[in-house]
Amino acid sequence: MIGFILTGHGDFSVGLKSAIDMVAGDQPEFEIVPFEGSQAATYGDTLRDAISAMRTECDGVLVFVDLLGGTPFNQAMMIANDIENVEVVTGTNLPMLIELLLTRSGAAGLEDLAAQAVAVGQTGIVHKSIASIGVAQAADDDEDGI
Amino acid sequence: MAEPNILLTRIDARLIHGQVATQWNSTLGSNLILVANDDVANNTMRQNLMKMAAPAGVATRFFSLQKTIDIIGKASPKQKIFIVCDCPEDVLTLAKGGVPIKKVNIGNMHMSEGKRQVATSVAVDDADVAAFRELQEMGVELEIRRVPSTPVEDINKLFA
Repeated sequence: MIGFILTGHGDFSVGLKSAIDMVAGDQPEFEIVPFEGSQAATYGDTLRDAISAMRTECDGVLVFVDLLGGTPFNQAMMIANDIENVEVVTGTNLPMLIELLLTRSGAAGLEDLAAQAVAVGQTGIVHKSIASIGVAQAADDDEDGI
Repeated sequence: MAEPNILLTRIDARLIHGQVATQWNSTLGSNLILVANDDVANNTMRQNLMKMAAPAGVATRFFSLQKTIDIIGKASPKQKIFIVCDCPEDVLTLAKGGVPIKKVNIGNMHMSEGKRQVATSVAVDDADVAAFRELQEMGVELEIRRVPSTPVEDINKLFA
């Protein structure tokens, strides 16, 4: 099993976790580390401790962060450089996490999961219009069955 | 004709939404989500929104209760069907109409005037309880569970 750590500015990880709880239920090997401005001095150590602890229990750790170049990203990258089998994905969104939490128990390794996270996260960002939907689904009807 | 391959029937006031599309469907491995609901069968807007929510490669159908009863026997064995209704009364109508429903998952039944909260995400009134009781008497298995990863709640909460 690959462990997941979610971190980001302010309550980003808290809010995203609350959304995940609602959609997917409580998840094992999934921890959040909020980055609060008031705890900026200790954040790096807190994140390192969380990643190290999960790393001892899991084959690898995938760290989901909110913003390329932000402090959570920067800290996560430095930690990933020090500890083996820790990878970082940035630009985290809800579709990405929901799908990855569901599929990670399969055989996929850390690198594959990171690549999948990027693909799913990007696919989840779309502009939809009601008008286009009926047309797109028209070919859906199978002659066989109902 | 072979019996339709109904994997599960779920009661969810929100019908196809995040929990159903991302969790239940993949856990079940269904390739057809059949929404049996008289209002949605006549509401293109609601249908379109639910088509958007459905996972890629999974077909959707929006049938009235009567159409579901009339057509279910024509399902192909390849169709792995996940039926979604918004209330137990509709599930009972389907079962009485001959739709071979064996197991019902009770997901979200919202709190409203005249209902009482009996489980984390389930509120019922007397009519709901009566429908559940009738389903149980017909031999249908009932299960209270919000999403696949949450524990099953005691079914007797419904009848307390």
